[in-house]
Formats: sequence, C-alpha cells, structure tokens
Amino acid sequence: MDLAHLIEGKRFLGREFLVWLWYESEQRDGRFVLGDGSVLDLALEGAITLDAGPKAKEQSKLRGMAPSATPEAREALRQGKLPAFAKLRVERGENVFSFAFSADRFALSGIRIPAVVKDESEERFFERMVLLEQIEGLITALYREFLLLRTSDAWQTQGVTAVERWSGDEGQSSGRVTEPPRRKRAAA
Amino acid sequence: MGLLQGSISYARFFVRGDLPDNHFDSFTEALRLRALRPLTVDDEDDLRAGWCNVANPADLELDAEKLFLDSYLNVGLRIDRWVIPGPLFKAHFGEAERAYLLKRKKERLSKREKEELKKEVSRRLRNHVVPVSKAIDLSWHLDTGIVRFWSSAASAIEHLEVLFQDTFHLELVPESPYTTAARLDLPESVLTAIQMLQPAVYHNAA
Repeated sequence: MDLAHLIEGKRFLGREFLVWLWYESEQRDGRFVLGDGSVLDLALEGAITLDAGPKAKEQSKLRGMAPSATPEAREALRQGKLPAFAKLRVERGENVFSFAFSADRFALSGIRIPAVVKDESEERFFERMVLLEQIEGLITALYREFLLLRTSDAWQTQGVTAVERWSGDEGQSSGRVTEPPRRKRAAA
Repeated sequence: MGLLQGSISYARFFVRGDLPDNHFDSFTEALRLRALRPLTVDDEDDLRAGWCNVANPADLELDAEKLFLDSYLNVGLRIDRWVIPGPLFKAHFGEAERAYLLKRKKERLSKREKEELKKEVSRRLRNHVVPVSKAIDLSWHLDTGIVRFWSSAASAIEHLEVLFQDTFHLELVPESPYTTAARLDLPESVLTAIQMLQPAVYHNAA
C-alpha cells in the first residue's frame, strides 16, 4: 500500500486515540505515567466535537467546563460518533499547556504555552521551540502507548468493550461539577 | 508571526529524503534563488510566492545568518497578490466597456473581447493599488526533519509544497495519524499491524 493510501486510510486512528485519551483520563483521574516513568495530567475540557466521519452531516458540538463528562457526549459515542476535535489541557510539572487537537490531521492548534520570559528574539525562539517540542513529545508518547494497545490482543477488551461499558453508563461522570453544555448541532 | 510571538497554530510536516552534505551552503543559495520577486504592474501573474526573511518579510536578501539558528532553518513564505477592489474594478470596467463599444460601434462585447478588456483594466488599475502581501513563518528542525508551517490553509500549503520541492528537492509529508505512528520507532511487527488495522466499531451503532 503506498504512503498516500496509508495516510488517508488510517486517519481513523486519530479519532480512536482521542477516544482512548478521553476514556483513560476519566479512568485514571487524569494522571498518565509515561514509558519513561514520568507523569502528566491530562483532561479534555472546553469543547469536544463528535461525528460519524469526515463526511458526516450531523455533528455533536459540546461546550462547557467539561463537555466530555456529560451524558450528551456519552450518547454521541453510543450513536457511533467519534471525537474529531477536542480541547485538551496537559500539565507536566510546573508547565501547563492547553490546545485543540484535530484527530484526523493529528494536529495541535491554538496552543497556549507557559509564559515565555525571554525578551531577546533568539532566546525567545528557542524557549518557544523547547515548549512546543515538549508538548508534541508528550502527545506522541501517549500515542505510542495507545498504538501498542491498539495492535495487541488486549485491544478488544481493554479498548473497545471497556469503552462500550463506560459510555453505556448513562449519567455517570468523573464527579467534577460541570456546567450544562451549550450544544450546537449541525443539521443534516 | 508565529515563530516568536502570537498564536501557535501550525501544520506539521516531515521531510522525506536525506540532507545534502553541504546543506548550509546549498540551501542558502537555493533560498536566495527562490526569494520572492515582487510583483510588477506588467506581470502576467496575479500572484507570486517566494521566500523572505522570517524576521522581516520586506527583506528579500537572504543569507545564512538570517536563515539558520543552530539546527533550525527559519524562513518566511511570502505570497503577494494583486487585488483590485471590486467596486473600483466595476466602475472602471464599465467606463472602458462603454468607450470600447462606442468606438467600434458595437452593441456588446464578445467573450474574448470581454476577457481582454478585463485584463487591460486590471493592469491599468494596478498603478493605483499595492499588492496584498502575506508572510507565513516556517521553521525546519534539520536534525529531526520536522517542519512547522504557521498556516493550515489549503492554498498556503499548496504553495509551500511546490516551493519546498523546487527549492530543496525534498518531499514534505504532511503529519497524519499514520505518518506520526511511522516515526515513533515502534517495532516492525507493530508498524505492520498498524498498516492492516481497520476502524474499531464501538457499540455496533446503526
């Protein structure tokens, strides 16, 4: 299979990765331990968009403090919609990052990095690059963990069945106080 | 914008191919050759793309000091375009059309005549406007082969891909779930398994 086919044909992995992050962040109360033993905290917050694929006409766009923890989000998952886009917050040590993640493109956007203190342009550039590379590295480390599960025999139980059970539990949330989500549906 | 300040939203690419041995010199020369040539009134093209100084898009005199920062190559992609405001064009074209028809005692323009007259009016109006210029930052980490381009617009990316290939004779592969996976140094068996994966079905929803 040539590269172009692989790129297009495997875009679903971005969405499944987002499902996994969503599910695992709730199961682990946001705390992930990476392969090198280091720790980060991750939460989906602010916005999540779910649909049945790039060509789907109907989307569930949820906003609020923790839209992914709402019954509406779980319902969308039960309807076969997967998250195409979500806002994430990652804390690693003293550094806090927030950004939007587009699953099909595996792209980060609107990245807020910890405040850059350097004034001089060269130092400023390096500081920004170090921070960007840090957040990219954290996301790819998580993606690696996901892919190892995804290609293992444990995927069906730990990946699919576990998510089905979790999203089938109506009304359950992480226990955090949430605002009612502002929901926007794109009509067919 | 982007590299040093402001919003951080970018498209990521991976460079496919090896760097030439003398890449500092050869890349500097290649970038100088493909620096933007500003549009002129008489140009056939309405649009032109080329490289510029990332710290100052008006600066088209590129040299190694402006381009390389340790193992990063930082450069701006500048896209200039003639844009004639619609109402201005409409008014002048109307006038030109009336004069043309009167002179040739015709009632209407043929399709070819209309196209030619549009070009002539546009060219004339270029004397009254300045090309619209947009510069997008690009940063290429030469050690890792990762390119960050501060725009996700399809048209900008199209210009980038063409110009990058022309300049460096290397291919840019856009980031995607698959290309990211391929760069994770996973065991060969896992990569092969990824290539065979089909979408998971959650809930078997109708």
